[in-house]
Amino acid sequence: MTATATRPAAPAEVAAVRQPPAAAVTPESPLTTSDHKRLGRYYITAAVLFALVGSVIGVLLELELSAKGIQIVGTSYDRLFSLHATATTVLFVTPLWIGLATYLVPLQIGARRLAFPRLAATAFWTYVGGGILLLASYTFGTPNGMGIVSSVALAPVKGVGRATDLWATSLILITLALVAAAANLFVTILKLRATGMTMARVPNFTWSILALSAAILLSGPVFLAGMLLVFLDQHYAGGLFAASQGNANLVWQHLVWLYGRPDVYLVAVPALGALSDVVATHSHRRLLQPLVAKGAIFATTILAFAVLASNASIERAVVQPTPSLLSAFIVAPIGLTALLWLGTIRPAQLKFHVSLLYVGGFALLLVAAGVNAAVAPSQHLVGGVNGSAWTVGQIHAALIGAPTMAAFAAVYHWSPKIWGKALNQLIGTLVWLCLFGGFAITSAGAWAAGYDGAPWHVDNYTSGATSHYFNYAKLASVGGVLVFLGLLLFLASAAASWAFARHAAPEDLPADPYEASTLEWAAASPPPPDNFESVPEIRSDAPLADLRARPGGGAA
Amino acid sequence: MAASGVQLSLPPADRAGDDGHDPSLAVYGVVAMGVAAVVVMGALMAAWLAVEAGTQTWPPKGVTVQNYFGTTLSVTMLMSATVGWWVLYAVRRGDRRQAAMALTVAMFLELCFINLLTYVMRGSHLGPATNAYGTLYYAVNAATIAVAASGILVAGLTLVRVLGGQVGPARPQLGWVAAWYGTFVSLVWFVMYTTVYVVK
Repeated sequence: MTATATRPAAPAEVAAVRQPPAAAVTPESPLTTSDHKRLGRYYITAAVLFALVGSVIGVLLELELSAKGIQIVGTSYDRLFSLHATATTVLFVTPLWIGLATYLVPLQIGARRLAFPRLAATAFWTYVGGGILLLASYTFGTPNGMGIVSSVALAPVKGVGRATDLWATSLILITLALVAAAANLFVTILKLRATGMTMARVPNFTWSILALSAAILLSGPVFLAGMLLVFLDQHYAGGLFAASQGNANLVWQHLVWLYGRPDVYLVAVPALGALSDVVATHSHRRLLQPLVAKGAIFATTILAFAVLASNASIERAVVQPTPSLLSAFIVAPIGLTALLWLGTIRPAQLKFHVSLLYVGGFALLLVAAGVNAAVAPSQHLVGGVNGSAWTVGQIHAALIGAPTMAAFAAVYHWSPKIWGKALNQLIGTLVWLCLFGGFAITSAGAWAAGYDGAPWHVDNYTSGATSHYFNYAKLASVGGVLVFLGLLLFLASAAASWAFARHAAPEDLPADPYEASTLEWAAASPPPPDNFESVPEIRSDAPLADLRARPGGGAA
Repeated sequence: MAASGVQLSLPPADRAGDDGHDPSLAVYGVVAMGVAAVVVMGALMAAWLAVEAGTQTWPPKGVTVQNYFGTTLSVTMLMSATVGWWVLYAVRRGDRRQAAMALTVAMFLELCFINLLTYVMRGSHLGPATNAYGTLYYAVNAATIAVAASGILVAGLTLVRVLGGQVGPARPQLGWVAAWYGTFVSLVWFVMYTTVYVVK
């Protein structure tokens, strides 16, 4: 079979409209590139670098608690706590998924580029600039927004200074970048699919990114509006969020949580999509009931918004009687997807790949968090779930740990495409040990401390502290060190693969090392600037498997 | 698992995923931008109404909302929206000169609107530091100005494409975008105007 694609002649009417010449592929500088593949790699690298900063701060915070009276961060504890919480949630997980999507989505749908390449570049650099500004804001002082992205009510502070201004501006920039990137991906999936790539046939990862993008597009601007109010209020000290202003603080809580609460669950959405592709590929089978999986991913997205109603962080929430029910519902589509993975796997056909370890890590951390969520109410935690060290364990297992595992499963699975050469499996296993072990140990330390009565967000354990508290903190800091080492090892491994691929002969870089079914594996590794020499005919959700099934379709 | 360098032989495609110049991309992009703008304005309007509901005196004593130019602002917006549809009319007729002129007028009217709204804000003697009302007033008006500025951006991009010959009877999509986005900007103003300036 040949690979000559000819375009149909343009109708006379269309031809009458002057067409710009076909875009020539010109080398772009690393700073001005709008190539989605480069930008995807940049996103992944930047997100991991921000996570490195966050993990170092996390270790310092736990060390501060590891012995009575120890002073490591001193009076900066509050500032670093806020920075750690904000940086790891805002600058790491979601941008990592956006980076993977920026790289993979056009390849998975048979497109040559993103819908708006320059917008993608603008979004990336805005994210990096916002991230640097966020880190810088904490060098000026403690911004008046404590907790995870200022989830607590803001008190008006007259003349709070540059720190809060920079902090609010940085969050506005980061949110703008995410909304722009999400809009770009959304339009790309809707409009640039190759002929035959119907919505039912798009790979599950792309489908999940469509859902995630829509959710970010709908919830991100709410946070943007909230941050605009915060900036005006804090910069000019207008007193909007003063206690005397009736509903203003409640308004703030709704604005921040309408974005923040779904985001907690939305990080699971691309995980479900990516891991569905990973499991199916390494099982050498099509995913069991792919349309049901797509429905489950869609349901998870919808329920992520519904869970807002269960938010205990919002005072005087109007739907308090429903929280547990709505929270429980979201477990159903996630569990259903996991069952489909189990149904897809046939042990005899399963080929070990390091990405499967990460799939296991994702599931184990989620299950551990789920079990702890079920056990916690009977343990009468001191300070409740919103004031106990137990919450730290939940956040590190479910909100950061599990999505990180899933994202790294995706990174390792698609590494032959992303870096040209597959990442080293042995180092990948070591990275897994560090990351999974790190998150598990950190979470276990925090859970144990919580069950023992330890509070969260304190710079020193004082009254009622037992020696166990200090040991749990030491355990958690060991976990933090492991996470840091894992991230560092990963960056080194990725750099080595990239350097190898730049000088390797094409025959050393197989396009499809897994005999996969989805379209991205039809492109060379790493893909050329315009991705495909030609796009194969798409007649099902497994176009490459269809090609192989045809007589003479296996090899050139 | 085949880890060799075997490449799949691909049959020809009807077309690749995109030709790089699909004008409907711009339509979808502008719709996405409009959705984001609606959510931002919706959140600010909700904040306005919620704070108003929890406050006994609204606007606070001593605050006088200037509505002197309300009609002028509304008429300017209506004219701008109408001119947007003139753009589409010209594009569909293939009259590039008229389309370019209409787009220039639309941009000018939106610029006038921004200028006048800024003047009204300054004339109200309300600053974001005055009180909670002032903070919300500034946020809502600033967001409206941003939406109007996005209207100028959309019209400007359409103008570039019209002058470049990339918009015409066969590819009128950007004409539709200019028309609908102009109307959308007007609607945003009328909702904000009614809430902040008329109902108070």
